[in-house]
Amino acid sequence: MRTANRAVRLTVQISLLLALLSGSVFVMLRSYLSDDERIYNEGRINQVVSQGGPVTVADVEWKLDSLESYTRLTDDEGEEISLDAPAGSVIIVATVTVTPGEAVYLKNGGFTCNASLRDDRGNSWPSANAFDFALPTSCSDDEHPFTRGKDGKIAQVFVVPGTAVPHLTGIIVEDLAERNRVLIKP
Amino acid sequence: MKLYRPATILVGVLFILLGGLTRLATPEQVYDEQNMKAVRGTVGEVLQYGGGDSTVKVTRMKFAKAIVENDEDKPIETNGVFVAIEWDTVRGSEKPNNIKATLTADGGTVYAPIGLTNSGMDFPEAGFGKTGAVIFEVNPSDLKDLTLNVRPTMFFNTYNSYVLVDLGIPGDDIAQRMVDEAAAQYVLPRPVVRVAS
Amino acid sequence: MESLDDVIDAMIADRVIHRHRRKWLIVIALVVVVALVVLATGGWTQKKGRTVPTLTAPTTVESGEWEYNFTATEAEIRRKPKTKYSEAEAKLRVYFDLKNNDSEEHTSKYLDGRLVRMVPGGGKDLVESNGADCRGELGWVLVYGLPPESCYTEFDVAPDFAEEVVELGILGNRYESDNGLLGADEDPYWHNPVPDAVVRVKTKVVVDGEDE
Repeated sequence: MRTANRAVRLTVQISLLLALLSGSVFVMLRSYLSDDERIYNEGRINQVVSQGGPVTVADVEWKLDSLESYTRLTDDEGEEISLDAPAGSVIIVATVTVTPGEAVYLKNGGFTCNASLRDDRGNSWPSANAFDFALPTSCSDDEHPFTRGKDGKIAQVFVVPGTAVPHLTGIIVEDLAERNRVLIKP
Repeated sequence: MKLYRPATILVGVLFILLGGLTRLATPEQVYDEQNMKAVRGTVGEVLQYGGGDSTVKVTRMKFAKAIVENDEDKPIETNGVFVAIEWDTVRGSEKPNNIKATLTADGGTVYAPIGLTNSGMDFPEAGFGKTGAVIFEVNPSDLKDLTLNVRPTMFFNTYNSYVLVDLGIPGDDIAQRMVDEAAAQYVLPRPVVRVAS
Repeated sequence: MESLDDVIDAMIADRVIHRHRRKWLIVIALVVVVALVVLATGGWTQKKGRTVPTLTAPTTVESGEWEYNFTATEAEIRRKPKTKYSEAEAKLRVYFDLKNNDSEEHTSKYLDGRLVRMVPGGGKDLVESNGADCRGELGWVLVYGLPPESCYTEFDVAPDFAEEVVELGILGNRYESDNGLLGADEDPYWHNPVPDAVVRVKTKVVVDGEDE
């Protein structure tokens, strides 16, 4: 009788030990594996929208109207706009319709909106400043103020190597607060 | 009350050990040099930076007694000697960490770059390459085994690696010769971006 | 029927507290009185006055990673008169030779402006300097092993600043390690600045036509 009791107690102790061990290993790894911040920082895309959207990110509605490539950009007087575009690079212009929603904070009719260009190899390029372009290239241009609920057209200009053009997939809009990254394909 | 059964003590000790191991193993909290992988190379070699597909290369090294920034007319002088490291960086798809560049020598001195606008080392956008120069003021009596250290400024990545470039000064006599043959002036160029092949 | 635990508790209470009630009350009252007295007389730690040496320029100061040689007997109060576009300004400029004295790590570095502060007097807060301007560059990186460089530092002062003698507080970092108990890395490094000296310098007023 005594040996049977001892065996049962031993089994219970070992299984408790195993349960606690596996529990602690799970807790230890889970915070790393499902670390949203780390995964976001590594470039994960949460959502893919095709046909240009529209899609709402951080209460701003984005619609990709066109994605075109150029070798140079000119302003309304026909003068070339200077961009840091070395030989062999291509200028990509994305024209976008942006509609700020009710919760967007507008300062003097402007807010921060930013898109980056993405390709299928994981590369992404930030938008460049193109002064005097026909369309405003930011959402805080004094001459083109926004109002909530109303559309506004802007352009996002990117400089990419020529070899990247066949790999381009679309533009990326990010919401840092929600760790949300959306790819809008044309 | 039998609080001190051996099995209970063993379990307690086991969990403490587990906690300790976790703390040692978590990559974000390890600051020690031993956990950083060194990628070693020489002048002219293309070296991988930061575990991604970005690369760094030292094109050449020049010694000079004074530095002239592009448009400024007044050269900056030194009581030691200036070492200009011309570099070539290529950016891959992963965003590389910002660079902290230092020179180390056999005598233990650690040299930091001088604070001029065009002197520095960084990466262009994806698919592009960049060339530029970074200038260090150095002590001519401590130049043996001069090595360029290219480190990421943030260590909190799972893959920690840094680049060490041997600048080809194996002895004091060679160091002395390079100091003696230093150019009177070095014109600091502006960085140039190109499309990487 | 009381449990054994209750009986034991009652025994302890009786033997320790109840039998010595008066002594306990006296002890507590004494502690409270001492606390009130200390509070009333201005605190526990003794207020020390200035505990660092006061030197007068020209002089040399070794502090932390740096060696300062205050060569000039006078600092300049550089006044910029009011123009159509800007208000009148003034800066206090102090000249010194600066040497990198980092014998621990032999690392090149620039002077942190917070290590040299001006004591405006009258209990006002210390004014931080802007670092060291050497060879025409502010924040010049000095190399260990090279001779001292001629540098100067500047403080923003009121346009009508006219003190004849200014006091500069020189602070120096110490090469020590953090407390490993809380999990910090125990390798030593330069930090924890401590006042090392006060340097008194006479001043003279200079009218600044154009900034160099």
